[in-house]
Amino acid sequence: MSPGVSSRRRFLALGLSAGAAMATGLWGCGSDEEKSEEVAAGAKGAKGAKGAKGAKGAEGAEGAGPVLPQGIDLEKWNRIKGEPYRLGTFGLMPGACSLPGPQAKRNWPDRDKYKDVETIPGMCQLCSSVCGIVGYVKNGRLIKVEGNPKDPNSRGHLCARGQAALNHLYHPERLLYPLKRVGARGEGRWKRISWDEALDEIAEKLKAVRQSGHPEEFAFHQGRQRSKDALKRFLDAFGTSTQLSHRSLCSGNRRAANLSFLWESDWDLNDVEHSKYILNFGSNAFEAHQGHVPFANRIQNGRFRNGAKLVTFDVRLSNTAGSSDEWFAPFPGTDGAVALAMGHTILSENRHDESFLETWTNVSIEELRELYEPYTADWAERISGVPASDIRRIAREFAGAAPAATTMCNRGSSAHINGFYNDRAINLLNALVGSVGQKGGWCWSPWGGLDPVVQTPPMPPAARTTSILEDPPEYPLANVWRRMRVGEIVYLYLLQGRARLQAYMTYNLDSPVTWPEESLTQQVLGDESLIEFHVCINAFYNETAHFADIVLPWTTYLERWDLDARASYNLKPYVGLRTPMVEPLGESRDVRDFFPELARRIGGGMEKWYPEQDVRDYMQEWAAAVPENPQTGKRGLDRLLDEGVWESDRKPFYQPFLQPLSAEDIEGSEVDPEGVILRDGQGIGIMLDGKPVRGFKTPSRKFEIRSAFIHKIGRNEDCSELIARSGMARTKNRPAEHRGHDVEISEMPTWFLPREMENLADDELIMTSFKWNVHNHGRTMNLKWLAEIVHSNPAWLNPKTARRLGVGDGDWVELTSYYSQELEHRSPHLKRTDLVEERGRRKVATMRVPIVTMEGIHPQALAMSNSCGHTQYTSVAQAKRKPAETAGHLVGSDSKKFVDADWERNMWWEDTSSGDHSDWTPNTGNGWNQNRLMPIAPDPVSGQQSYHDTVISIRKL
Amino acid sequence: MTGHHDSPAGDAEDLEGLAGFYRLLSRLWVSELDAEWLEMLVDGSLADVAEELEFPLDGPREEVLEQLAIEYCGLVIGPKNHVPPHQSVWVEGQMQGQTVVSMQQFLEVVREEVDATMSDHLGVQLGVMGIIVESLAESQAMPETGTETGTETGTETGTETGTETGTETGTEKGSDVTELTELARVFFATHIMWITRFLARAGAATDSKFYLRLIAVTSEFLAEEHEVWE
Repeated sequence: MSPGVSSRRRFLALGLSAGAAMATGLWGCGSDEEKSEEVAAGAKGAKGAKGAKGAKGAEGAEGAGPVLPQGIDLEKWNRIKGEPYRLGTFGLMPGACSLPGPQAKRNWPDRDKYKDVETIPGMCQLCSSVCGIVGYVKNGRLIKVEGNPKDPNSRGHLCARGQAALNHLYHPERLLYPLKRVGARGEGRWKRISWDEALDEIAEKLKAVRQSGHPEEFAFHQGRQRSKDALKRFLDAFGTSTQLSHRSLCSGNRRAANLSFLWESDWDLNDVEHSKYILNFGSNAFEAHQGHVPFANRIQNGRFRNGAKLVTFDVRLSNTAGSSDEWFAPFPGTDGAVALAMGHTILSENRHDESFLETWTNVSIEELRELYEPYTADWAERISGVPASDIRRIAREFAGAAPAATTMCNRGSSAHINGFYNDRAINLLNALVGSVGQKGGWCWSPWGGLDPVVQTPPMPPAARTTSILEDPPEYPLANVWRRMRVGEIVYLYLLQGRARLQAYMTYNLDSPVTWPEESLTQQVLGDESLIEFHVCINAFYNETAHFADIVLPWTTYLERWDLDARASYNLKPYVGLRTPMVEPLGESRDVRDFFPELARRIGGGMEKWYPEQDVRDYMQEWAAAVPENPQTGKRGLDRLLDEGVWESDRKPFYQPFLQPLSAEDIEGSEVDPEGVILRDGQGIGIMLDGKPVRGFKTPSRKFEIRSAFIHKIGRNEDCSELIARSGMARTKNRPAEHRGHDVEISEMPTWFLPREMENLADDELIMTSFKWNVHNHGRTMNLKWLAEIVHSNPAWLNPKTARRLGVGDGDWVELTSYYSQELEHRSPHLKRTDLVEERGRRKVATMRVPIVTMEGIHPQALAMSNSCGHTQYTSVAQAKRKPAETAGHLVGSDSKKFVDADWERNMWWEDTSSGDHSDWTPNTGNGWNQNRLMPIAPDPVSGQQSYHDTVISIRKL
Repeated sequence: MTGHHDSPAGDAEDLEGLAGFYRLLSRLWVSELDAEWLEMLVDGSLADVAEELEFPLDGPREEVLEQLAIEYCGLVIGPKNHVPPHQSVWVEGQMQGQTVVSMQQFLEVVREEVDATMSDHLGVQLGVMGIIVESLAESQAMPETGTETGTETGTETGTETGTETGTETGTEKGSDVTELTELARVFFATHIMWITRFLARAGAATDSKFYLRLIAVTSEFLAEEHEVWE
C-alpha cells in the first residue's frame, strides 16, 4: 500500500470518529448553542432530520426541484453551473464563479456589471469636503462609487480619494472584531473579544471615572468626525467637556482671523465662481482644502467662464500654484507682509472703496493710512523676496477687479506662529476694496453645516466641567468664539503632569502620525500612568490603536448613517445623507449603534438620553423637516434616501449686512449713539441712512478691522458688553482659570517675523509641509490605488540651495529640527527645557531623508509631504509586500506559479535596501513621518499648530 | 441492475469519514477554540482524534484557552501581519470580492446562510465541502438496484416531524451521484484549492504549536484531496 493511501485512510477513519461527535450544519453561521443542541441530540437527531427531510425537505417538495439529504438543491446547482470557460490550452474553468485576475481579461467587457444594481446615496468622508456620492450595489456588494450630481456643493465631482472608496471598505486588513490588549501596551499582542465583553469593561471603567467625581478625566479625542450629534449626546450625557479635537492642527488661525472680523462665521466662502480676480495666499485648493472639490470646481469656473485671474503666493509650486496665472514664492510666513504691502498700495493710490470703509468698518480711512504707512512694497520685498513692483501691480489689478475680487487662504498662510496676523492682513484686503459679501467677492455664511431646519431629537445639556486639556488657559482665542481647543499640547501637558486622564477614548485619530513630535506622542500614549485606560475606535489598526487597551472596529462611512453638510459655496445651507450602502463588514459598528448600549451600561442617568430606538428611526426623526419634493411626493428621510441631498431655497448670503429689519424685528428695541440697535441689551442691528438693517454680528455691527475684543480678551478683561452688543451669545469671556495668563494681541492687523527666522545659518532652512491631491493628512496611505501614486516623501530642495550645500538630487541628508525661539519668548509656559541646546537653539529631532531638487520651492525652504511614514496602518501604508507565494496554484490560472492577489502582483515600491541608503531605489518605501521632526508649536494667540515655520539644519550624509 | 455509481472519493463510508474530517477542520479554522471544544479535544469525544492528529493541547485549561485565543487572533484576525482567511483577499486583493457572489450561490445550493463577511472564510468553505461530501455519502448509501420505494419517518429533535414517501430509481441515484460529484469537484477547484496558499503563508507566520500542527494536517489532507478531485 502506498504511503498516500495509508495517509488518506487515516483521515477517513478519523473523520468517521469526528463526524459522530460533532453537529451537522455549517460552523460559523449559527450560535454554538445551536450546535451544542445538535451534538446533544446526537446521530439520532441528525438521521431523523434527514429522514424527514425537515423543513428543507418540505420546501423541496413544493416544486423547487429535487432536494437531497442535507438540503442540497441540485436544480439550483444545475442552473448556476452554466457553461465552463475554455481557457486556451489550459482546459476548462468551472463556470459557476467568474473569478477575476486572468479570467477577468477574458470576460471583459462585462456588459452585465451594472445590470440590476441598486444606487444608494451617501457622502464621502475620505477628507473633510464630504462630497455627495452614489454607490452602486449589486448582490450586497458595493462595486462602484461616483459623485452625486445632485449634491449642490460638489456637483457630482469626486476626487481620487473618493474613488478609492472600495479600497477603504473592502481593505483586507480592516478591523473586524473588538480586540483586547494582551501583554504590555504597544507590544502589539491582542485577542478577540465580544462586543458584550468590550462594552462591559469600558462601562465599568467609565462608571468609575464618574464616581470619582472627576468626569473631566475621561477625555474623548476625535480626528475627522462627521457624527457630531452622536458624540455630543454621549459625552454631554456622561458629563465631560474634555472633548478634544484636531482643529488646531488644521484651521484654528484661519477661523480666529475670520471671527475677529465677522463674529458670526469662522469660515470664509470666497465666491470665486463669480470673481474676476482671485488672490491666493498659501492655499492649495486644487489638492487639499476643507472644501477641496467644490472650491476647486468653482475656481476653474470663475477662471474659464468668468475670466478670473488666479495669482498664487506659495512657498512651493503646488498644483494650485502651477495652474495659476502667476505664482510667487515668498519667504515662509511672510504672506501677511505681502498683503499689508498690497493694502498700502491700494490706499496710497486711492484705489480703496471709500464708501464701504466709511460705512461698514469701525475704523476711519485716516486710521487705516496710519496702520499701513510702514508696510511699503519695498519693505515687503526685503522681507518676502517678492519684487515690490509685482506687489504694487497685483494690488492694482486686485482693486481694479473689485468688487468681484477675493482673497483666499488656508494653512499655507495660517499654520504659522504669526499665522493669525497673516490671515488678518490678507482678509483685510477685501474690506479695502469693498468686496466683502459681494457677488464674486469675499463671502461667508452663518451655516457652517446642516440647514438648521433639521433638528436632532432632544440633546442632553452641555457638560460643564473644565480641563486644562480642553481649554488651556494660555491661548486666549482658542475657545472664546468656538471650541477650537489646542490639540497639539494635550500629550505635552499630560507628560508635564498638568492634567490626569483616567480614561481616554480616541475616534478616527492617528496622533502619532499627524501630531507634532511623534516620539513624545508615542511616549505618552504608551504610558499607563499618564493614560490609565485607552479605547480606540477606528476602522483600521493605526498608530493610535497600537497603544490602546481595547480596540473597537468602526464602520466605514459607507456602512453608517449621518446627516451631513459642509459650508456651501452656494452660500446657502443644505442637508446631505450618509447611508449604510452595505451591511457592516465583520462585527464593525458605528457609534450611533453602540453608544446607546454603552450609555445604558454606564447608567446613572445617561440612559434617559437613549430611548430604545433603531438608528434608522433616529434618522427619520432628525430628517423629518426636509420638505416634500412636489414631483415625487417624498419628504423627510424618504426624500433624502431618494435624492441623497436637499438644498434649501434660501437666497445666497450676499451682503447680509444690508438686510432690512422689519418693524417686528425691532419692536422693543432702542438705538444707541453709535446707531447700534439693541433689545434687552443685545445687539440686533444698526441704523443705515435712517433705516434699520442687520449689519454685521459684531459689537460695532460693522466689519471689525479694529477688534477691541481680541485685545481685551487677551488681557482677560471683561468683554460682556461687547458680546452683548454683538448678539452672539455663543461668544464667551475667558473663564476664571485663565486669570494670570495674559497675551498681548494687537487690536489692529499687524505682522511680525518669528525671531528664529532672522539670521539663519548657511546650513539652515525653513521646513514646511504639504498634502498631495491623492491623500489626506494621515488616513489614506493605506489605500492601494492612492498609495501607488504617492507613497514616498523625499524632501524638496531648490537646486541653487542644493548646489550651495553640496548635495545633489537623490542624495541623503540628515535634517535636524529646532524648537521655536519665538515661542520660548512668548510661550514660556511650554517649558521645553527637556530639549537639548545646540547652536543656540533647542534641538527637537533628527531624521535622515533623501532629497529631490525642485525649482518650485523657495531657496530658503525645504518641503515634505506630511502623509507618509506610517509604522502601522496596514501593509499598504507600510509598503510591505508579503513574501512571494511559491506553493500551490490557482486552478485554471495561466501559470502554476501565478499569484492572483492584486497587491502582491502589482505592488512595486517595496523598499528592499534594509536601511542602506546607498542601496535605496528612489520612490520606493513608504516615506518618513515629518512629524518626527515637527516641534509642538502653538500660535500664542489661538493655539494653531505651526507647520511651516520650523528651522532645520541640513547635513549631507 | 444499474452500474456501480461510486464517486472517485470512495464508497459511502469513505465519504462519511471524509465529510466528518472536513467538518472537523471547518470548526478548527472558523474561530478560536472555546472551552467546550477544548474539553472535547482534550478529554471528550474528540480526544482520540486530537491525539491521533498530535494536536498539542497540554497545560492548564484556562491558560491553554487564552493562549490559543491570542495565537488565533495573531494568525488570522490581526490586527496586523495576519494571514487573511478570506478567499476574496487572495484572489482579488480585497474583502467581499466577486468570490463572495460565487460563494453565496454555493451556499444557496447547500441551503445554508452565513454572515456575508464569513461567506468566503476558509472555515466556512471547508464546512460547505463537508456538507457536499456528506450529501454524496448519503446518495451513495442509497441502494442502487431497480426501483426503490419506501417510506421514511423521522423526527427532528424538538422541532418537526415529517413523513416522506419517495421513489428512488437506480438511474436517479446514479445521476445524483454524478451531479454531486461534479458539484464537489467544482467547489473544490473553485473554493478549496486556494487554501493551500493560505496554509503556506500561515505556516511561516505563526509559531503557535497548535496552529502549526493544524496547518500541517490541513495541508496534508488537502494535498490528498487534490489528487481525488482534480
